[in-house]
Amino acid sequence: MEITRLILGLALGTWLIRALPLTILSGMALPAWLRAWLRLVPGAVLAASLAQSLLVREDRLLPSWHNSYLLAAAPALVVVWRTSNMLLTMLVGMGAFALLQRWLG
Amino acid sequence: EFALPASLVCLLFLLVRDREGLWVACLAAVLALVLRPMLGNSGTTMAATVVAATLGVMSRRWRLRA
Repeated sequence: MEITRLILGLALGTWLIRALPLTILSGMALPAWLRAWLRLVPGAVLAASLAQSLLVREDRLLPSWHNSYLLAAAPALVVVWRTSNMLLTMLVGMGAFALLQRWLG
Repeated sequence: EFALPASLVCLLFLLVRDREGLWVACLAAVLALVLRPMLGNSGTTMAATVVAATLGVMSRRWRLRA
């Protein structure tokens, strides 16, 4: 029963966090600068996350040829540039990473 | 292990289509790496995003005024 209440409470909280801004902002016209800012946020978030996941290992910056994550990103980037296919990009990236892990250790 | 970075590569490439978005993304990436030793795991991505997007909007305003 305790767990059920916890799950319901979390579900309600998640719904409120997502629904309230949508409800409040749907009737408002956002200023141009805010719309421009919001348009830039997704790319910035993805780039910041990607940079850290590729270059940071055990809390240290690792921009070297022994960084399998960094090297495996190259074929993934080529595949997405040529095909725009997310599944194929992930498969090629993971395959390259597996091979590099084997070779580089 | 590489599934998340691979999906981020794909999403980023498909999302960033103009020069402004590209330089803001690059700036956010550099800021994330610079801020990471100071802010640790939490907050780095958010701080880098906020600063980069804000600078992007400010530079657009400066260009429009010029």
